[in-house]
Amino acid sequence: MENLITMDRVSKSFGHVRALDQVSVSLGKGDILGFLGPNASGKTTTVRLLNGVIFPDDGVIRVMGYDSVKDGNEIRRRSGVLTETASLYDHMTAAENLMFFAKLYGLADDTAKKRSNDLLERFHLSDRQKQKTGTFSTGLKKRLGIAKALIHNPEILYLDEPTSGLDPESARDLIRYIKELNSGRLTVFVCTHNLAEAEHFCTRFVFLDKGRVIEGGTLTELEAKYEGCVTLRVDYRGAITAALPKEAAFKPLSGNASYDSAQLTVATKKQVPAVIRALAEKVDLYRVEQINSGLESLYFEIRRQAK
Amino acid sequence: MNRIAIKAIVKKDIDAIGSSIQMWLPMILVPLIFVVVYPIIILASFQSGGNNITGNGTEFLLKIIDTLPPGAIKGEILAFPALPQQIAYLFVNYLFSPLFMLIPVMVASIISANSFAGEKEKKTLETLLFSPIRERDLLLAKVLASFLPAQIITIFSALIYGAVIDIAGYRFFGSMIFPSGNWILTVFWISPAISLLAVLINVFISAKVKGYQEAQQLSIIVILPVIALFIAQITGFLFLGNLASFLLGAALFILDALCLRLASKTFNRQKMFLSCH
Ligand SMILES: Nc1ncnc2c1ncn2[C@@H]1O[C@H](COP(=O)(O)OP(=O)(O)OP(=O)(O)O)[C@@H](O)[C@H]1O
Ligand SMILES: [Mg+2]
Repeated sequence: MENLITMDRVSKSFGHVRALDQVSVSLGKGDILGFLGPNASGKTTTVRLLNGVIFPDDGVIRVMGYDSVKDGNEIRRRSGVLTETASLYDHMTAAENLMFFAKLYGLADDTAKKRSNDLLERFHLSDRQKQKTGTFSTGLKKRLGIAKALIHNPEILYLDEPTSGLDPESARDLIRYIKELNSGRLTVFVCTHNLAEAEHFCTRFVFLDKGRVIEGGTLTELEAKYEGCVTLRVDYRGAITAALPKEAAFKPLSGNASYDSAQLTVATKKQVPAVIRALAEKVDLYRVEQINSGLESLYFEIRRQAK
Repeated sequence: MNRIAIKAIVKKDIDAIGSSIQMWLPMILVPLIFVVVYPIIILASFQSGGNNITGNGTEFLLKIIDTLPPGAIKGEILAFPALPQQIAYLFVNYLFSPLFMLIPVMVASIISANSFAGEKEKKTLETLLFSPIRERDLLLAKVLASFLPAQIITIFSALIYGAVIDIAGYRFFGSMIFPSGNWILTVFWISPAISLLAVLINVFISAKVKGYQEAQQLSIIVILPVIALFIAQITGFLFLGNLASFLLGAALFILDALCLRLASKTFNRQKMFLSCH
């Protein structure tokens, strides 16, 4: 697949702080990359570097075939960015903000108007388009910020914490919309701490820690590599300890009047079906759920092993 | 050069001024006090004094007129038959022009401090830097957004000043003394040069400070040379005739050009970005 973004051994320091250290990342057209890592690991710095807003100390960044330092404007023309704090102009209305950025991105007036109206409608802001954004709530600002990032129909969309501050409905709506755009080949770069969301949203992941890439790949790839213990939560009624196969570690949890609860841990995923089968024979099961599931457990496992 | 983007930024910044009363009120009120109250006080005090005025101040002013180099200015002043007119003319036409220069300096400083440091403070500069605008265009837009309003306010102030003097002083002077060549130079040559300088100095100040307040305080620096000029003129040390005014303006424009060059060399995208973080 053709690479849309290539970072090759990129380093960046701010004074004595080494924000990025030899970071290499590549991203194909149509990917939705989840850029994960704890606070201060260098996610936002990476977004800024990729857009040529700051320059790498070392290494090469190419986006859509352009050098981020020399041809930054070419890259920026075709990229949309939602920054961490969706910074809009408080003294302007929602519609005015969109029209202003449309002009910066070189949209013709009528295209800009149409695009702005469509996006306001898409993000349920039409009835507030004449309201000054200074009076917007956090979530409304964020929605408008995303509309702004999309105003010029970018090829790459960068989202820094897109759903923080959004209500669950808006968050889900946003993700659905981005997915929709992605199927039209929009490439997306998401920095997020919301792992549950990222798990379903992103097609690939890069794990960053203290400015270094510690792992990367698709969920399946990562799961195969880090096939670790599985922790299950079980709601049941009956004599569970007698029924339990010896490979499952048992820890009681506080249940309620109608059933008991326990946490079971097995060493590998492969053992899970056998354990459930054995239990189902002897006790009444109401619920079996993996509580260290997917991306979140991977996140901790990857970080643990990287240490 | 991307004119549409530049225009959009200039318009945005000017709208921002309009939407904040703390911004535009002093920029309207202070010049109004300068151009209305000052000439009326001068004219009123000389008109009421009759033809025989005395006192230390008068002697001092007479000495200024006396020490003027022979030529156009002295001729203009001495063309008035009576002393009160001569001194009043000196006040309203010559001594006021450096004071008047405070108007473009003040307006340009207030607006540019807000335009740069304000954008930093509200973290909107980052969003601008993520857009495909060239650094030079951004700098130019920001400079224009301060320079244009300053120049417009200056021109209006001069017109109001002229109207006040011509109307209130017509009987006193026996003619309409405004505009004179000296004023045209002040308004259209020295004022733009000096407000441009104020804006550019603010660009550098704003890059170093955290917020608008601080930028505002530091930008007072620009006013100091103007006050020095005023003192030089009133003490008769330096009397700006037309040629001297022209040369002063030219020197300021050269300084502007140098500052602009320095600014566009200094502020690459990363520098602009880091200045706001
Ligand atoms: N302009 C700057 N000046 C100095 N240090 C900076 C600057 N920008 C980033 N850093 C430092 O670089 C490191 C990475 O910061 P960055 O903002 O990229 O983290 P992040 O992964 O986005 O964190 P978060 O999840 O909190 O948003 C941090 O240590 C930060 O303090
Ligand atoms: Mg961040």
